[in-house]
Formats: sequence, C-alpha cells, structure tokens
Amino acid sequence: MSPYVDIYVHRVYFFFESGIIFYVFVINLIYLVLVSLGAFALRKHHAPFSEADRDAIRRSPLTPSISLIVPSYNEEVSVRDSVGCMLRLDYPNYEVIVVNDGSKDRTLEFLIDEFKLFRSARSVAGPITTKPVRRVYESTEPVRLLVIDKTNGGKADSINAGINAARCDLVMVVDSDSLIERDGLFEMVKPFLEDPDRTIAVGGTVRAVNDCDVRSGVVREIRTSKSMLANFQSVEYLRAFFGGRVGFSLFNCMLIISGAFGLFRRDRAIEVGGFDHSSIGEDMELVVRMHHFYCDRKQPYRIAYVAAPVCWTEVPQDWKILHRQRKRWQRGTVDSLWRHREMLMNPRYGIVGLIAFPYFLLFEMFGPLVESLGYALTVLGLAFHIISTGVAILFFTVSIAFGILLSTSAVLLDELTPCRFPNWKHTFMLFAAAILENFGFRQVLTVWRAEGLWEAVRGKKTTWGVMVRRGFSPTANRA
Amino acid sequence: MHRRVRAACEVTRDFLRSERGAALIALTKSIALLAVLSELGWLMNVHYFSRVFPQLPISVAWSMLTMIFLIAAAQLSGSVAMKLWGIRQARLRASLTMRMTSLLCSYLAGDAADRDIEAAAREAPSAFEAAVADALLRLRGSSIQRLRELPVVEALRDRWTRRLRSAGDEQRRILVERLSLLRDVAAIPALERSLEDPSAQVVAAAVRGLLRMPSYAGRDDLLRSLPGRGYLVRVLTASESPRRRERVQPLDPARAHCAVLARRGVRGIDRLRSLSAQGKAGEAPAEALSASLVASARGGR
Repeated sequence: MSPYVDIYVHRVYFFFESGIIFYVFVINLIYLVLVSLGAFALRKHHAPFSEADRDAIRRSPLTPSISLIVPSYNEEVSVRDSVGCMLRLDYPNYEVIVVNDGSKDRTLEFLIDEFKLFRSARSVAGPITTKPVRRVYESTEPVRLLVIDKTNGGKADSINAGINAARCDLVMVVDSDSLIERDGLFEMVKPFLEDPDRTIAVGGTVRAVNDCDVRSGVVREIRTSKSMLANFQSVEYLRAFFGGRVGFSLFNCMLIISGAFGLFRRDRAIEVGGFDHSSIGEDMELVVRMHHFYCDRKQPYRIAYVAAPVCWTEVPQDWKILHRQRKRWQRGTVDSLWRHREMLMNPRYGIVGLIAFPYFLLFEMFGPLVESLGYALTVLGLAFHIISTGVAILFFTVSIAFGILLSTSAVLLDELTPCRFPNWKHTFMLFAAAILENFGFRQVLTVWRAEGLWEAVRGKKTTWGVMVRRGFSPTANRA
Repeated sequence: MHRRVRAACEVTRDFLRSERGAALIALTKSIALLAVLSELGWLMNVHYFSRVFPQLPISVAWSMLTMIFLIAAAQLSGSVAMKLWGIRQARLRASLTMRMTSLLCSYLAGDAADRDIEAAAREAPSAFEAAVADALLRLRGSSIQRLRELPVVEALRDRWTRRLRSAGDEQRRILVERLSLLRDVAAIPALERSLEDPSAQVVAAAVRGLLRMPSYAGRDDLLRSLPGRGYLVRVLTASESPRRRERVQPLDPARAHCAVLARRGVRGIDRLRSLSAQGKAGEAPAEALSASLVASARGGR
C-alpha cells in the first residue's frame, strides 16, 4: 500500500472512530443526566396516598372510574391468574374488560369456566372501527367483568374494541400476562386528580416477576430470578423506567407509555383515533400521536409517569423469544418516529420536537447501528494495526464501565423505592447482573436492535408477539 | 422599588413551586452533581494520570475509568450498608416502639406512668413520636383526651407545628394528619395555616382535621369553600360533608340526656367526663356525648 493511501485510510478511520467515541461519550452523558434526574425526582414520584387519603378516595363520589382493558391472544396459561388479580384490585369504581382476539387456544373457555360467564346483550359498539365482535360475555358472579370475543385483528385492534366497550372515564391497558399491585390504581390515577384538565395519559412502572413469590395473583415476596437472562432484563427495566422515564416525564416529553401498563383518558384516546392497528409499536405510536395532535391544536396537555404503581410482568427467559421481542420493539420505535417525522426539530412541538424526538432518533433508533459500527471498526483497526491493542481495550473498557455505572445507578435508585428487594442477597444479585449484563448481553441486544432497524427499513409485517408463558403460580399449567 | 423586588420574589417562588420550576431544579441539581464528579475526575487526571500517561485521551480515559469504578463500588457498598442498617434500625425501632406503646397503654389504663413516659421520650424521641402517632390512629374519644393531657405530648404537638414550616410535602401531610388526630384546639391555627399549603394532600388532610375538631367554629365556612378548591382536594374531602351530617344526628339524644342530667343537678366537669368515659369510650359518638355533657355542665353552672 502506498504511503498516501495509508495516510488516507488512517485519517478516514480516525474520523469515524473519534466520531463514534464522541457519540458514545454524549449518549452516556445524557443517560447519566437522566439517571441523576431520576435520583432527584424519584422521591416525588413515590409520594403515595396515605391510608386516610385512600379511604377518602374509596368513599368519594368524585373518584374517576377506570376500565381495565386486557387484550389477550393465546394466554391460557396466565389469563385466569391475571384477570383474578385484576378483579381483586383495591379501587372503588372499576371494571375489567378482557378482549379475546380470536385466540387459538383455550383462553376463552378457561375464562368462561373460571368466572362463570354468560352471553350478554351489552352493546360494545363505539366510535373506533375494529374487527367484528363475535360475542360478549358477563359474569354471573358479582364482579364487573366483561369478556369480548372478537375476530383476530391484532393487539391494537383488541384495545380499540375495549375502548369502545368501556363505560368509564379512564381506560387502562394491561397485558394479560401482568399482575398489578393491589393498590396500584390509586397511584396511577393521582396525576388525573392533581391536574384533571391537562392530564391525558399516565404510565406506571413495569418490573420482572420471574421467580418472585406469587400467591393468588399477589406478589408476596420480591426476588431475583434463577435465570440470569431474566435478571439482566430486570436491570434493563429499572434503567429504562427510573433513569429514562422519570427524566422525560419531568419535562412532559415522554414518548413511550408501556403497553403493559398505561392509563388514558377515554375521550382523549378516542379523539386521537385510538390505537393504530397498522403500527408495530402501538403503545409508543399512540403517545407520539397524542403529542403531535395536541401540539398541533395548541391544546395544553400532560403525559405523566408515576413510579409508585408497579405492574409485574413475566420477561422472556428464552433467547429466541427475547430476540423476537427486541426486534419488534425496535421496529416499533422506528415506525412511530417515521410516522411522525414532521415533529423532528420542529419548534412547533416544543421540547418534544426539539429534544425528545432527536434523542429517540439519534440514540434509540440509530444507537444500535452506531454501536455495532464502533465494534466493527475497533476489530478492523486491530486487525489492520491501525490502533494498538492497549488503546482499543482501554476505550472498550471505558464504554463498558459507563454501562456498568448506569446499571448500578438504576439498581441504587430501586433501593430508594418502597418496592425494593427486601433481602440484601437479592440486591447483591441484582448488582451482579448490572455488572455482568455489560459483558455480552448488551452487545447481543445491540445487534438484535440493529437487525430490527434493518427489518423496519425493509418494511416487515406486524403480528402479535409470541411469548411462552410459565404462569405465575407454581401450580400453573406449563405451556 | 421595594414592591418590585417583592413582586419579583413572589413570581420566582411561584415558578419554583410550579411543575416546570421543580423540573428545572432537578435538572440543575443533576448537572451540578455531574459537574462535581467530572471535576474530581479531571483533578485525578491532572494530579496523577497525566503524569503516568502523556497522551491526553489515554490519561482522561484512565481517570474516567477510576471514577466510574469508585462510584460503582460506593453505590454497591452504600446500598448493602443502607439495607443492613435499615434492617437493624427497624428491629431497634420496633422494640422501642413496643416499650413506648406498653407505657402509653398503662398510662391510658389509669396508671401513673407519666414520669416513665417522660424519661422514655427523652431517651428515644423518634420512637416515642412513632408510638404516639400509632396510638393516635388506634385511640378514640376520651383516651385521646387523656393522651393529650401528657406534657410530653403537648411538647410533641408544638414540635409538629414548628416542623410544618420546613418539612417536605409528604412529611407535612403526615404532620397535619397527626395534628388532626390529636383533636387539640391548640392545633387549629396550624391546621388553618395548612389550608393554604401548595400540596393538595396537605390541604385535604387539614380540611379533614378541622372538620373533625369538635369545637371548630369555622366549619360551615370551610365546607362552603371546598367546591372552589382543586380537584384533588375536592375528591379527598367529598365524603366529609355528608359524614359531618351523619355525625351530628346522634348528638340530639345525647344532648337531651345531658339536659336531663343537668336538671337532676349533676354538676362538675370531672363528674361529666367520667360519665362520658364510662358511657361509650372508644366510639365516635362518645366525643359528641362528652362535648354536649361539658356544654350542658357549663350552661348549668
């Protein structure tokens, strides 16, 4: 190779490599700001109602009513436990609407048997267009349970059918494999009570329930899982919720409310057209659309996050399922950002357009691509002796160390919440997971997310995510 | 000029209390924290790593790595230490509170445990506070009155009132709830001040507390002011007005009974108090009975 070409290659290489180092530094700085924001703001998010307040809410005629919408598709393993848990929630005025989206297993039969359902004449027609509803069931027992059996149309379509059928002021979307804490609705409803005119949506915290002690649909003891993969995801969830969402929520620019646990004002959800069934990440898409819609109309609104209510969900313990899930999430992010690209750097959308949207685009959407490129360039640099092994190892270690710091900070933030692990052994285990996840797990996720980005660019079709359920109780049927 | 400064101060205070102000404060704190940590890292680089590694990126990377390692180690050890300390404190507090509670029980049963309680309160003030707060939640009627008569509880009431000025939102709510449970006339001014609190939960607790005060004169005005307050306050106090009415109804037979007693020549506050305590101690109407007995006695004098 001629010396000129050699110099040119070196220059190009260092241009890209220093760009990536700068990118990694900026992204970690932003994450650190978000985590420390979480540390300062989390206490406010965890100021629960006192028993006297709850008692007053229970007896108050002004307490808003809630319809819990549970879309389910092939959920025979966990649906009875989770619906049973939802019917035992401590809240004065709520109903549960399970939407069976044409399940191919015995989800509907199990529900009919367990809750003594009978065919109801209740009308479930509403303003949002959905796939046809086959039958509607209600329980003979004194519980406010409605089961809608409809033709398969996807998760968003099921939620829309639930929104149509709902009779309450607020609608909560809950995954059928999730368990809500018994008093979780009190805290979820708090932002609506504090600011009823502006608040249109509220998200809560989602945590991994794998191997926790669950009895009668209630999490009795919080434990780490025996599976390290589940523990890695536990740490990831803590980082996402306590690090990211607390910070974004402070500035009213949160772009995601988890599809597993979100509360919306029914009239506002209908006003924006409900969940989009053509979207892959319907939860994120709805929230971004709400920002888009209300900023366009210059209507004041607030999308909040509260850390106190926890929804427990089973996270995948199988690499294949996790792979599919992460690809789907990444495609959802890309899809939502692409549909609302008009908001990017547009001052009309305020902090959402100028900060949240570019952050999601640069770091959440293209992040995996840049990170993968960084790994590839380092390997190439080493192979062609452009950089020394010592320097490569040092910068790789610094980027890993930043990851460790963020994860351990998230675990520490968890210690500030009332929902922390009661036993120090489990805390120690979680710290170990926070360190170990940076050696392999995060890199694998990066590659999968890059794959998801590629699939989104190619325009792959939407389907329900398949998840092998283990059930909550030790006696639950194994799928 | 003076007025303008005051107006500017008020605008600033309002902004800092608002949602945006709180967000800005949190952001400033986090940036300050990161700045301090970066400065420490830089100092480490200047004083040590730059001498070992002449190339700036390498020395900075080393100092970053060291800082991250130190912070992560501090987090881990701090978290485990916090947990162990928390478990130990909870055990200690439980045993102290149990001792305090048994002392309070014997006092309420009529034993002369005042001095023991005073000594215990001096020894472990926070445990005493917890025991009194717990007792207030469980006691009714004349028992609360007897508890109020303890000088240490009076001192505690004053301390709670003072702390209301400086405590955070949640702590203020707890203090107002405790003052309400005391049902002490001396707590009324503090509760009235709390009606102007920026936190809706504190206001609601103050409203509930004032409405439950048997001798609160501004009840009707307070009830009339409720519809004009924030939605959360309205939700948290909506059940209060009908309950006030429910509570007032059983008073009439009690008052009638008191009038009969007064006509028969029963006199003296102490005698009437003991009648009240014998009657329905532990029941809500006992307060009503007690209040009307005292009122009748005063009228009869």
